[in-house]
Amino acid sequence: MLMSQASTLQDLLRFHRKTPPCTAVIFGANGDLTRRKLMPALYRLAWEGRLAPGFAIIGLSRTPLSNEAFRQLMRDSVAKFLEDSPFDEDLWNSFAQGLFYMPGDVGDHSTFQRLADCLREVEQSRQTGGNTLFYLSTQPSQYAEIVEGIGAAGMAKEDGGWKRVIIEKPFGHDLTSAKELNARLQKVLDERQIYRIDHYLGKETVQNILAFRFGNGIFEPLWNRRYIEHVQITAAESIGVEGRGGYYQEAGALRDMIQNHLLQVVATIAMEPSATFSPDAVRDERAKLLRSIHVMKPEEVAANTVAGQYGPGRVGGGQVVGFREEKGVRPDSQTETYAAVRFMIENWRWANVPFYIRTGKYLPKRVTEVAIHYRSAPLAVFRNEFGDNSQAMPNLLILRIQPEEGISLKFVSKHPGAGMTLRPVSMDFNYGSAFGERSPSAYETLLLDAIIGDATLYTRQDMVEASWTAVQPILDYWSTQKFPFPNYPAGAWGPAAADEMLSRYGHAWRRP
Amino acid sequence: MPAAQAVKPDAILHEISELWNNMTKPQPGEAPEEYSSGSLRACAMTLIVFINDEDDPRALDGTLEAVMRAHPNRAIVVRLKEDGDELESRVSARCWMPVGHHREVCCEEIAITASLNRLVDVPGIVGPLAAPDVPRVVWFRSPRLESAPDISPLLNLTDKIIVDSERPGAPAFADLRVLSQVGHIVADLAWTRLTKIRELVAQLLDGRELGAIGNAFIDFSGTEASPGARYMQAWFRSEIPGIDAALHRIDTAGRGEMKAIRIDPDLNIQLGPNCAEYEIGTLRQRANLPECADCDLLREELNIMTHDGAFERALQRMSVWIPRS
Repeated sequence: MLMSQASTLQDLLRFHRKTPPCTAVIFGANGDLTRRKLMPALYRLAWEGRLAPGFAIIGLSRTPLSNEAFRQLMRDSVAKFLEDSPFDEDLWNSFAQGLFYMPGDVGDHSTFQRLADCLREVEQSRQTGGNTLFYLSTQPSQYAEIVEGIGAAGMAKEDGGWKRVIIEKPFGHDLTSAKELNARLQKVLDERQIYRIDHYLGKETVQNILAFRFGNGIFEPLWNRRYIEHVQITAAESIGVEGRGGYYQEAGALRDMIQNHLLQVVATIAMEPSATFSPDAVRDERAKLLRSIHVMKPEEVAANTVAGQYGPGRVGGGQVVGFREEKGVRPDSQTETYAAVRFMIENWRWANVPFYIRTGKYLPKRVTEVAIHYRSAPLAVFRNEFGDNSQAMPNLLILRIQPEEGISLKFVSKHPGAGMTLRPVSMDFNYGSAFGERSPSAYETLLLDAIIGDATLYTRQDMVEASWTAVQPILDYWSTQKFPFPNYPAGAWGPAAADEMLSRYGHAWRRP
Repeated sequence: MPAAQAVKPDAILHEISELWNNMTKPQPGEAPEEYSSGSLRACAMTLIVFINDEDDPRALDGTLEAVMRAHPNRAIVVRLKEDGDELESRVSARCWMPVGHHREVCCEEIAITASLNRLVDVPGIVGPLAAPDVPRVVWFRSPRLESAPDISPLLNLTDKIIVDSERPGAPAFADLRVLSQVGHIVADLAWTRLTKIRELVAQLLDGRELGAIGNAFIDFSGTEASPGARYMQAWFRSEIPGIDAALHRIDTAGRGEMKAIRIDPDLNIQLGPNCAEYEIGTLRQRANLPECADCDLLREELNIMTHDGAFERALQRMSVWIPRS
């Protein structure tokens, strides 16, 4: 029997990856995330011709709106929040033909039956082949309920096209709740249908870490305990909680940044090379690394962590209030706006190499970077005659994630002139300069990956549980403490205790 | 008769070195600091461009600058003069500040003016000036090379040869088929212009049994189909087995440009300025097809430093090869 001939028109050198037709169902379609991020990202993908013909979106939220009103609302949002791209009215009109709205309360079972009917109609009119991407852009407390509703209405069955569900972090608020959430999701969905989005992994520069490590031959041999002394990861924000005090008070820096984004960065930095670049091969290695993080005993937490909270201070020439004075925040709040942790990875590659992570609000500048501190030269040949300055300046490899994405290597060089005076110099690779093309936003990358079915940059449940396992002892210990907050003024590099923690181990924070 | 001028590559390289020394020298009171000011010298390839001396320098400047931002390169611009006995060089830098960054990025440019009778000297100058260990690409934009006696030393300098058969006076010497057959990596910007349209066609035909497609019509406007229309026909012929792909003149008003693509049984793509309207089955949609400037086309080609199978197959199936005049 002759096989049906597959398309040979794909030009892998020039074309983008092909995307299957599908309907995206967005829960929380009237929310901030949909308006600011999702819809502009989907429109931009349409602008670039990355979406299949017939691509459709069904928005669902409680607000009563007609299709037309929803289209107008989304049009205004896209025009407002679209970054680095022109807004094309004609293209929008074509894109908006595939935009539908259904008001509904996810607490009401009949909503899901109506959604299933609506989905069938849209599938037929737009020829999407039954492929459906559900995006839960709602309160995390509604995730399980929505997935159960999808399942009860028969919309999770893959008997006509694939069905995938994207959920946003936080995936639980501790290890127990993460496991509970997962158990409820997996009653309805296979793990391969669940796409847990961590937009940090969608950043071009985080992905570039993999290219840097595994696409080059010269760095990987130096990527281990023999050559690396310690690693520092900084994710500093120069702003405060920006009106999200109520939410942030329940989360804190450890849950908001370290448990998810920064431990994923650690995994990307420290994982073993995968045998292939297939989604599960890469995620297996990430998960393995996260499971190798030493789980602190209660008595180890105090020496290896620092919690901080900003008080009033001066930022950018103006006075700002302390966290406890922010709207929605209790005046005696014990929530940390700064966290620093010393993680150890228990495997052969990284034994005894500390990974220092810090993140905080109202730090002096917005910067996210990974600094790999190499060991000093084994012999100080310039010590006697010319001073020992080479020993004080170990090589440093800096992977800058934002704002100036790039890679720098610091080394010492002879200062011109008589004598042997050494001076640190920097060799810079600037991502934006080498590739002047526009980088897709993290949401464009991740949405497209989900439509294509590439879960490489999505977090798997075992990764979520492993990272909760690593931070749970810290959460438990901190919950028993009464910290002397505030302990750093807004605009400073965190509490003094963070500097003291590193100095106890013979290190110092880098000032990016 | 005055002695012929000499241009020495070593002297030009020294000039470049001096240029950088001056540019990167800290100003009084300025301490070198991370993320701070200063210039970043960037070079990921050498781009050699042959143009006519009288071509509008501003248009080329804009193109080179846009290309440099995507592919920082050492640009060697050879301006060819019809007459005289001239050979001169000049060195400069192009700098820009990427949005949101604090350090400007700079690339160097070497301009060489050569009369046609000094063309023989150009490979010996351009070769040593090319940046080491990075690809070398030559973009033949000047039709004047057509009358040059032997350009093979120029071709042997490079890893990729780019022409544009849509340009009036596109050099007939560049019979890309021959160059491709002898192993050169070649590109034609007339083909590059088709990428978005080809991608749309591929997406719309995705999942169909290609062998079952009987006919395709490429409607064009003009007395003769443009190279782009011919490439489209050749692409169908090389990629869809058994297809009858025909060029169809709809009027004589245009310059041979494609106006529509119709594929059996139900796909109709109407090409308009910066967009396409297509009908497939009951679905009618609009796709964004922004017009590509030279810089966009070059950026795409500079991303591809290997043999391009789809292009080379189409090239072999081109029905007629008529250089435009």
